[in-house]
Amino acid sequence: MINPQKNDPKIRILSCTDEKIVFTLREVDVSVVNSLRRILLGEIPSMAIEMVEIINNTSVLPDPFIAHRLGLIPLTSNYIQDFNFPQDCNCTSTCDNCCVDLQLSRKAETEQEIGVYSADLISTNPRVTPVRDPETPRGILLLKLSAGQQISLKATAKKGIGRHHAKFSPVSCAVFSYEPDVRLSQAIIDDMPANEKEAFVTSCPKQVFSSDPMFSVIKIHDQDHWNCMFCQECVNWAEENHREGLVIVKHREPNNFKFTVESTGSIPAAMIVKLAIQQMMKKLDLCRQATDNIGNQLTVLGSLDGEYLESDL
Amino acid sequence: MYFTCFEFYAKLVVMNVPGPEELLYLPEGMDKVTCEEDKRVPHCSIFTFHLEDHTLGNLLRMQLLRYPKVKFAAYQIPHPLVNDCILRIQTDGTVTPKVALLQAFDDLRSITENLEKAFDEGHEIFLKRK
Ligand code: SF4
Ligand SMILES: [Zn+2]
Repeated sequence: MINPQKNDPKIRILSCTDEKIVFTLREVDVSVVNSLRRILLGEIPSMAIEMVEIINNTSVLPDPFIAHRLGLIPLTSNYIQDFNFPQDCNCTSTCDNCCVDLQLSRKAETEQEIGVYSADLISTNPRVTPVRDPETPRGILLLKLSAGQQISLKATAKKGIGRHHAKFSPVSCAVFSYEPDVRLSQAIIDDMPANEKEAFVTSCPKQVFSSDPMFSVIKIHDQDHWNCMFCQECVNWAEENHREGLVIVKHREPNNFKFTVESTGSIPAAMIVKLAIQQMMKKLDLCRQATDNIGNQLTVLGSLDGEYLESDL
Repeated sequence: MYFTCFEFYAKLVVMNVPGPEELLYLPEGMDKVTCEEDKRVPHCSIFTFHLEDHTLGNLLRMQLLRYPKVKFAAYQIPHPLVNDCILRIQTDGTVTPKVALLQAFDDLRSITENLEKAFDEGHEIFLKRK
């Protein structure tokens, strides 16, 4: 069985925190990388508020507005496998295996205006709570209440995927780019006066080129080429100033990528990537199984002389 | 007052969008993949994947095009509101489109497995480096 595509992907993680992971991918076809990106955005399950029961709302914001804001709050979903999708659950309406209840109740008692934050949502399940991080311990501002106003509501979080609604997507950013290849012609640089060199270095909006204060040499530091966004500003500058060939910008190799994934905080970024790869496998297995089950009437094509065996490709 | 977040959209903007269930759950008794033969050209089948989109379609198409025995492979999403992905495969006659498709699934599966391995290795190296 031949597999013409080289099948030896290499991944190097450049940086990885709970919120963000950046890695380079080599020897993978763009179609696979793009499917991975689409799965990251749309098919990794997480929890989000789906139903809101407003008990009392005397704030200036209308009920639907608040419900919509609540829906977009990221909830910690590290244990998402333990929950069922609402439609798959055995219960008739809601139960602990498919839903998590949250409550919010705040009132501005004093003359002072108060802010209601996502951390004010009290969850009945410690595994599914509004995301908090040390920098913003109170979470996301939902609304403000002035003297005497109050808000009280019950919300129900359910499991879903981003294809259904973007609030279920655990990533706030999933992008990949080709590895840039920026090359300078030393001969032309040597020919340029300092003021021209300065103009050239500043022509790049992403500071890919660096130079000493006197603008005698122009360099591209070790990892700086990754900043390039293929805007061609530097190439245009060279053309306008009759320095054709000064710089060439192209993709380094067709199968090299840099992938950036930012988490909303609901699941650690590295785990999301891993889940996405597993989800891709699941999807392929499911569809392969279904294709296999189609039935054999279609494996016989046109002729009957047995020439069309299920030979290797 | 009870609201689902979805009802809001429906109430605020009058839409005829199909509900999320149609996007996520295959109706009872419906096959995930259906197939019909294209009678106009030899050795050609049209596969319809229900509840799938570009994620699968493009993946399969690119893999199928790598096989010398596959003469034609293309996919189509008939309409943004129809959650189907239609894949048309024509072979040179020495294999059936279905065999080619199964081969594509197997190869993609092995690519994904290697991808997972590579990610685990990369993660391990990263943690050691730290
Ligand atoms: S293409 Fe744009 S970002 Fe890249 S080096 Fe040139 S000016 Fe800078
Ligand atoms: Zn349930």
